[in-house]
Amino acid sequence: MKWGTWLAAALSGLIWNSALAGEGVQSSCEGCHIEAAAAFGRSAMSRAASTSTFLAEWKHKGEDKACLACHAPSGGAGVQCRDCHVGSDHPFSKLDVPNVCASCHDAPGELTVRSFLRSEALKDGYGCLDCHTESRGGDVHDITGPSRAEFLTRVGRLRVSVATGPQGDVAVVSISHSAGHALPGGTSGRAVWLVVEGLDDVGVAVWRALTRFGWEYASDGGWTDKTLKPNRTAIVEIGDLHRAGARKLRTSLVYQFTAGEYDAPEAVHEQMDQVEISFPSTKP
Amino acid sequence: MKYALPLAVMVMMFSAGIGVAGGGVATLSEFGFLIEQVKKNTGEVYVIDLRDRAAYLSGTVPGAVHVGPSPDGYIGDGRGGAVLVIADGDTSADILEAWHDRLVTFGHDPIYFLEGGFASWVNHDGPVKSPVDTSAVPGKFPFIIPRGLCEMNTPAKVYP
Ligand code: HEC
Ligand code: HEC
Ligand code: HEC
Ligand code: HEC
Ligand code: HEC
Repeated sequence: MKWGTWLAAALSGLIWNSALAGEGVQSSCEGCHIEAAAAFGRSAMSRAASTSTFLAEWKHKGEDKACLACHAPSGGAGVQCRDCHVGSDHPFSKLDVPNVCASCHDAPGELTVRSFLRSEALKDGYGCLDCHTESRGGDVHDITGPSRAEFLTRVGRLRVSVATGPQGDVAVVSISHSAGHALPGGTSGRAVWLVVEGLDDVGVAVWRALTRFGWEYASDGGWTDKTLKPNRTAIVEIGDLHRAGARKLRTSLVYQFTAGEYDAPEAVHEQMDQVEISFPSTKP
Repeated sequence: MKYALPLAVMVMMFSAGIGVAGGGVATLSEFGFLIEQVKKNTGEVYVIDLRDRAAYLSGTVPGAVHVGPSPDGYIGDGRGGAVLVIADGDTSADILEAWHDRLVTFGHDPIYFLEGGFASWVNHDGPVKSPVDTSAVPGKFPFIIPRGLCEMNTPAKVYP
């Protein structure tokens, strides 16, 4: 395969000189490492500084250069070959995953790498690439994640019990997930919501309780990590279930791609799991 | 098995005499299996705690939900699967049996009861945690929800 790569490079008219002559670094890598380049081109990382979502928020932040330290450290449309393959001499030495990812995925507000280091997934021998590249072709650069919504199915799991307590019925919801790190994994703005609704006879929600998992900040600028940790079940209890004539309970786990409130008009959601429970008809 | 236990019978599947298929007394390896499942938080075993609220809050099996002592109003989510029941060691057999019947209604199988209750879980180095650490309260937002996706915008701590 390596000789194939080399041959393809030779046939496409590229010679070592073009790399040595210091032409555009990315294009010179691409010319020889066709497979790696094609695979990385499919990853959202390669476009991290050019999506409409990024550009809108970046503009809003006064085009702060600090953003590019992670979104496009070498300029261009996004993350590039040399942002991971650091060092001086080609061919570069083998990368140390996940340390090489930490420069962007381990920061205040970005706790993917550090929560991974405490996960059972690591103890079981999984690495970042085992979970993030399996779906396509097998190239290490085919790194996908929640930018493809299918990636989020079967990740989060809800269990619900309704128990009778001294104050009446209580719904006890437990949430667990199979990501090898915190959920949501990264940015301070994304969130996972637990949405619990009481439904009437015809299935219309008559009440709703929202719980947010993600990063939150206080007005003094202090940040709190309220993400769902790996290998830990989060528990939420909700009382007064029969209020407003509710006959059913609907519990949903929803991933929110956009920052802000659950009901914000621009919110983009993906449902991860849902459970419905009917109350017995003998209940008021 | 990782957890060799001195006692011959630690985990009872509460089914003898009440005619549940696949019943009988579970083996030592099933106790090890339960600890393993809880430690890894695989979601394969649903854990319910029947003890009083204070006991539950002061420490229980990680991930256990508090359902109180009475099976009467209990409603499951119908997803079934294995369930581990955490009770006091002196909980009466009648109550455990009533719980067993209730859980069967919601498709649970197998149903594990610990002989000696929660204390035997502790004695055999089963993990224990206060649920306060992992619980969240709906509708309370003492913090501001970020408006941007990368509001912290702080460079990483670790550079390669
Ligand atoms: C002119 C063709 C050419 C260019 C341009 C080129 N490479 Fe290579 N690269 C190769 C060949 C051929 C090998 C295999 C050499 C070997 O295994 O000793 C290789 C090896 C590598 C390896 C090590 C592979 C391994 O097996 O461990 C890495 C990483 C790499 N290149 C990255 C890059 C990056 C990043 C760039 C752009 C900065 C680049 N290459 C530019 C041809 C090229
Ligand atoms: C997000 C980080 C990252 C980026 C960006 C990246 N790589 Fe890699 N690359 C890796 C990892 C991880 C490996 C596997 C470990 C190793 O071989 O060092 C790898 C391996 C390679 C290899 C070895 C052969 C192979 O494919 O398994 C080549 C060649 C290579 N990369 C070229 C490139 C080129 C060309 C680009 C730009 C199009 C690029 N890489 C961008 C992380 C990255
Ligand atoms: C056991 C599988 C597994 C392992 C190991 C794993 N991930 Fe993930 N990752 C997931 C799943 C599932 C999601 C989607 C849920 C989520 O967003 O957390 C995800 C999401 C992500 C996201 C997007 C986070 C978000 O919500 O915006 C990033 C970034 C990420 N992973 C990076 C990494 C890195 C870096 C590593 C290695 C340090 C890693 N992952 C290891 C399964 C895994
Ligand atoms: C130079 C900074 C940088 C490095 C180094 C880096 N990433 Fe990323 N990564 C990003 C950015 C920025 C995004 C957000 C892309 C977007 O969604 O627009 C991202 C997104 C991701 C995603 C989510 C992709 C999706 O489809 O949703 C995964 C998974 C991921 N990275 C894994 C890794 C792994 C594994 C490594 C190490 C081998 C790594 N990253 C190294 C900056 C980086
Ligand atoms: C410490 C590295 C880092 C810095 C600094 C950073 N980001 Fe990000 N950003 C990420 C990563 C990593 C992701 C991918 C989301 C995830 O996987 O968690 C991301 C995702 C995003 C997304 C979502 C992309 C999409 O298409 O949905 C936007 C928008 C964004 N960042 C904007 C910004 C802006 C604006 C700034 C500067 C104010 C900034 N980022 C600074 C690492 C960073």
